[in-house]
Amino acid sequence: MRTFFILVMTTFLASPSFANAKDLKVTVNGMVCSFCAQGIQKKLTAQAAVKNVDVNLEDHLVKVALKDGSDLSDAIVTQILVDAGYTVSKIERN
Amino acid sequence: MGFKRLGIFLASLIGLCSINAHAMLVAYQDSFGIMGVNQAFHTELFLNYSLTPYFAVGERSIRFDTTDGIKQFFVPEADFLVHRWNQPESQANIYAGGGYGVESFQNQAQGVAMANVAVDWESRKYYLDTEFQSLLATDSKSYNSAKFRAGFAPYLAKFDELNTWFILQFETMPFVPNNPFLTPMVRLFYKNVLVEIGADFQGNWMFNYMIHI
Repeated sequence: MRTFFILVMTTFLASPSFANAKDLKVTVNGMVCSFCAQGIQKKLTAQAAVKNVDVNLEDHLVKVALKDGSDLSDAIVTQILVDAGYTVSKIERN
Repeated sequence: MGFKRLGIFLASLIGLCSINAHAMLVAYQDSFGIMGVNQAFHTELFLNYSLTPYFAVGERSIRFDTTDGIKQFFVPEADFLVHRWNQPESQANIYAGGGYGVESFQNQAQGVAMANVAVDWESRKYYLDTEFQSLLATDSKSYNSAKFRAGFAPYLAKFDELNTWFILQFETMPFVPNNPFLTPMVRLFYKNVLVEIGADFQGNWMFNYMIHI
């Protein structure tokens, strides 16, 4: 029983929700149309380091959740947004 | 048609101001676009690939029911995003493009040059849009058309919701009978699929679509 408990706890603590995941909050200019902004989600999601992308038109924000142990530099994020046709005004990390 | 005439034709287009917010002659890098216009007097299929956010190549097939009869055009083209203004609450664009292809009429073919200029401005609530397209055949006949659009969104849709727009389009095609045309329409888009459904005040239906892959 003790072994089972340790095994469960180890698995639980090692899961992504408890891992040291990072989130990026990118403020984007020109993002007013969801049809036009599909490229943002498509290009960011294609990155191996990215777990999830949330586009918020109202607040001009793209929230990028990164996979555990992964990172994405500001330069790469900015380039992806530029290739999608937009301008990055700010990148915040937490 | 000599190069001088073609040069004058292209130069004259540069001076024209035209708009088309969702003409999207160039989209995001490495994307394919499929666009169609379907009207009783005009159908158009446009396939393109954006190599960069500023440059795309494509093929346009056009069919006009003109005063002379049905004319078809097949034109490979190159398009440029000349300038984009990205603001927190709006975006504006200037596009320009051109190509050289073939006009088919009564089983005869001849060369045709094409140029497009498009300008748009849009926010999440409103948009303005105009586009000018000109085709100049080697027999010196020209086919110039222009669209002017104004639209508004009745609600602000989120990124992953169905978007709805009400749009009024004024379109002039002097080589088509019963020109010009005033067309109210509804535009719907969800994710990467956009459709427009409307009918002009002469009773001609219209169905347009656009898909980005």
